Amino acid sequence: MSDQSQRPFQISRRLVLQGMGASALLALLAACGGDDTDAGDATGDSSTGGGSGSAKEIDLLTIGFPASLSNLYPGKEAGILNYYVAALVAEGLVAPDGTGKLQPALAESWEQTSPTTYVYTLRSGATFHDGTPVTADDVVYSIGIAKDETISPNVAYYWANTTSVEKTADNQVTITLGSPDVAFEWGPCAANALWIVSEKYVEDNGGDIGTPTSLLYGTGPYKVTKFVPDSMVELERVDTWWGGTPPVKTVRFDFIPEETTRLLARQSGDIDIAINISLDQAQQWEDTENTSVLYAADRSYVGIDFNTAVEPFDDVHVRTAIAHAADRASYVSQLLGGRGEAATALTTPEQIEGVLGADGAREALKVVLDLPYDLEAAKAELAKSKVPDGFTTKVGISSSAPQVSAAFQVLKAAVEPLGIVIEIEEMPVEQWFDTIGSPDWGLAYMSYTSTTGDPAEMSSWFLGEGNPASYANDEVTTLMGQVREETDPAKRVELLIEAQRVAMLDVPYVPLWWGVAATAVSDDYTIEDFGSYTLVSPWTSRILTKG
Amino acid sequence: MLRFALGRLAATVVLLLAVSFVVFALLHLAPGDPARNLLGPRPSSPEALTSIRAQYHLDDPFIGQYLRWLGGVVHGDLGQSIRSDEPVTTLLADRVTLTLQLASFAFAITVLAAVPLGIAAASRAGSVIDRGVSVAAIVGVGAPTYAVGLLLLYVFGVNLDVFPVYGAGEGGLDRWWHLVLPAVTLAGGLGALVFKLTRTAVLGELDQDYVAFARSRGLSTRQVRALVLRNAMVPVVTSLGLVFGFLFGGTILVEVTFALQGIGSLLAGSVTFKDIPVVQAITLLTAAVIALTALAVDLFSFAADPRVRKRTTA
Amino acid sequence: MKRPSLTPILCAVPLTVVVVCAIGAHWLAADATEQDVLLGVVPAGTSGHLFGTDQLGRDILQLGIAGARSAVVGPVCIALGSMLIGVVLGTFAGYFGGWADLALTKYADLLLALPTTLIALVVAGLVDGGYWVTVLVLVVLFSPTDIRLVRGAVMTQAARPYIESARVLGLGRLRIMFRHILPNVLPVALATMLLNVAFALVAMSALSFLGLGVGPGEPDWGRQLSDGRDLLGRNAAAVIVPGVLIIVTAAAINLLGDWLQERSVERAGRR
Repeated sequence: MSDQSQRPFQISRRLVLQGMGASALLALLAACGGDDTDAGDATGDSSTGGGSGSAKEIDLLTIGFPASLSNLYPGKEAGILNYYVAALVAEGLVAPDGTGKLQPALAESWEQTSPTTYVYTLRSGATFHDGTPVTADDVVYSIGIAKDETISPNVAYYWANTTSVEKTADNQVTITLGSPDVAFEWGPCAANALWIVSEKYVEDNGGDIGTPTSLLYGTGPYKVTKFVPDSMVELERVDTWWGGTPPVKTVRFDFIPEETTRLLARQSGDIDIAINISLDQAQQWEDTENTSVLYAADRSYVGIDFNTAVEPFDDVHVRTAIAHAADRASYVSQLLGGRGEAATALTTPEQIEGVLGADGAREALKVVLDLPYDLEAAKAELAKSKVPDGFTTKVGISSSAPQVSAAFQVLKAAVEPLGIVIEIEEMPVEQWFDTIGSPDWGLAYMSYTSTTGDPAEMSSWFLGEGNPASYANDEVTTLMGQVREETDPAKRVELLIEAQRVAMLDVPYVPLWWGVAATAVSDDYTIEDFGSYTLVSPWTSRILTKG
Repeated sequence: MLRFALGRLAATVVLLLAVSFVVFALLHLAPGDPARNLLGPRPSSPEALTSIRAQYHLDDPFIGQYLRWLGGVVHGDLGQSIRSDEPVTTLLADRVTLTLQLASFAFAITVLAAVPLGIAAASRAGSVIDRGVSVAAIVGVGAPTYAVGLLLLYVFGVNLDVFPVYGAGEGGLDRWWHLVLPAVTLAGGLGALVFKLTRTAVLGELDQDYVAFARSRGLSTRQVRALVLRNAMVPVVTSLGLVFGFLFGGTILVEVTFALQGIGSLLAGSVTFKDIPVVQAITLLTAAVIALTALAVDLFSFAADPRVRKRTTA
Repeated sequence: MKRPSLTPILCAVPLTVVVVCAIGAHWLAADATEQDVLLGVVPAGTSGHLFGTDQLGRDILQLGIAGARSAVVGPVCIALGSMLIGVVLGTFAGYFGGWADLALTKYADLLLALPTTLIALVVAGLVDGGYWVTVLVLVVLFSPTDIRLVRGAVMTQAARPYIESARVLGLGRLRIMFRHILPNVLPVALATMLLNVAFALVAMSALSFLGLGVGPGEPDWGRQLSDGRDLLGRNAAAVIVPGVLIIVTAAAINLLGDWLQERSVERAGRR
């Protein structure tokens, strides 16, 4: 909220032109020896090297975060940044590779023995940071924590369908579901809903998890050495990780809520990497000396939500009229600086690329929402509705979402001639949560970043029971039921797209754009194969030193 | 004097109780639900909501919730943060220290710069010094804090590379070194205000009849000045008392700009999250600091100004 | 002591311009909120856009002119409103002392002790936000400082010999208060009030970040400033224009305040 909100204005243009070199760091690096270590292809990513650099030992890497963390356990505080830190410290049973396919993590292998039964065989030799081996009991305990809605309010939902979690052998855990759900595969993953922690550590520290006194304590390549909530986290490499030794010895995350301060910190060389920089300032970051910006789709979705139980949005013509008035292409090209993609569906292309390929995915999603920007058509639709002369409505927008606010201002101007008045209210992000699916807000928006690669992650909420649009359609429900059970990935994607296509004929949602995350990196380093899934896997393994 | 002080102290306790109740009530009335905030913008079951609400006693009647909180405070337990799961006391310890350091530093700068300048300007009203400082103060009052902060950062943090750009340092001298730019930023606008008030107060006294009278009776300039300063001190100290309270409770913009984890940014985040135990603790603490400063100011005017003393005891 | 009377003219020029803009915004900047999304951000100096445009393709200069209204009206109302409360309650407290003093200072202490953000968020949340709600909240939050200030000044004045003699002469309390004490307190009040206008201008721009000022898209300097912070690299004028407008306006108000205050002190001296 306010944190992101205070920004400067008195910075002259010279600021942009006059980046300061990170000379101190260069000197430091030159001093560091070349101890070439195998980065360990832990995530099983098959793609070949992109950046030109080598996995040299790096003593200290300082990362600037745009927001604060107050708890390190994503089950408790599930901001995307919490995931990025947790990915280095703790692991799940499985982990995504660069294309979003699941690979073994703490489970050496797994199989689905019936539509509702999953059997995981644990990796032998995996240990916690203190060297004690990971047991099946620890896994069962960790799942118990993740399932507890008071300890893990953010992820308990993903475990609600499990009826039993049992140790079936010394190195084997069997999970049984109440009803078949293919998406469950993504549950026991540190990119989604499971971080395996040591039962002994948690119990010794009073049952808390992720606080400064009871840290997140797992099996990943790093352990937390210092955590000052809302200020910084420091991680130290351990030699107990089964996946090898990443090149970075110490990773320090500093939380710098003010974007321009972060830019200045980069210019003075105080930070090496800035994660999730503001797209509006991307140009300034690119113009900063000794700095490059990497862009990657982040599986985020932004779109309009109508509450179809609230007048006048219970009228499909009203919803269609607004959909026709949304100029998605301009939002992306003008408001996002071209960094993003006009969305046509709830599912992002990156989530089905594994099945259909990059182009195939976009082609397949194109058919979902077929309402082009056309103000004449919007007018005609409104004329057919029960409010042909227009109406007044309001929308609540999080003050930390400036691009969404801008998009709604453009939409507001577009529908004004039709007699539709949209009052835009800005509010803290927490109050915005309350507008979604609320009977007080017929018009709302959703900004959602899928953590998993499961293409149905958002759709199963948005097209399922209790969806925020109060939308019900038997055909869609049947199709989504099939999506839950279909084990063949290609068929499943086909069913999912069909479900969205059918639903979108009623326009309960208007997808606006699929987002891109930008990360600024010092030219001393590069991140190999930086992509959509990089930061939710043990990503320091991919940091290479240039030159 | 003692009776006066004790009476004021008792009143302060009552005031703190009132503040805690008002804030609790406001939070209760405000939109939003901490349980919902914990769940975030994701699908969630009604059962999850119920069990979280039960965990934090959010469904108890309002008065019950307040009394439960008050009972804890009386026993020295400020509760546990809903957002981060940490006990409020540990959560606050470091932040309060930092904010106190920042506010004191800025206060020292304000007092050491603005008050002497104000006196100097008033005694040489119309001079080049007076004009120069007055103009600077005028710009200072209008310049938004975050803009000043970033300008300082740009010049001293990046271009000259003298001071660190962000963070609170590793303790000891490093801490104070990190706090130089934030404290100067914080002192800027308020210093301008104190300068103007000092100047006005001293000018006002200089214009009083007794000054002309004293001069005509042949008192030396130094004696007259001492007399004037003594009389001008009451409004100046009153304003300084207010300034300290304002500094302590008003560090948020500076905290955000310089990435410092003080109580300002914590409060802002906790308010929107409706993290009641944290908001209560911070408001109470801020209120206590403000009330105690006000008490100190009152005691000072009581001791320094015989006219006030006479009226209060009469 | 005497300043050249250049000061009022120096202040009056920018202030008149601002006031004219505030009154005539509808005619002077009719297209202020006109968007041209496809044009997007263009830098200062582009033909037709002296100071360039913002993200939505709106003209920065026009927005600056149109923003004068909310920049002037709100802060002036805040300063006037809070000083009105301050003068009435502060004079009562300072002059009567005793219970009235205790009750009013405690009330002021209570207000001072409340965190601004909290009050603003809660009140805005309860009554649906908006510009005037923010103004009202700031009136209340600005008033305790004024109350204490006036109270302090009145207490000092009330102890002075001339008031004693007025009392001996049998003048009524209200009469003493409003005819004799208040005029002597006014210079301080006036100085504070004009400072408050500047403070309110800055405070409102800070609050608009929280979505508590004018709604998004409305012309407002504070709003323009915060919207423009991401455009620094593309059109620095988007932030420099509102920033300079705020500083110049605040400075002019301050200077005028000083000048008025000195004049009133001189007049008081002559009497």
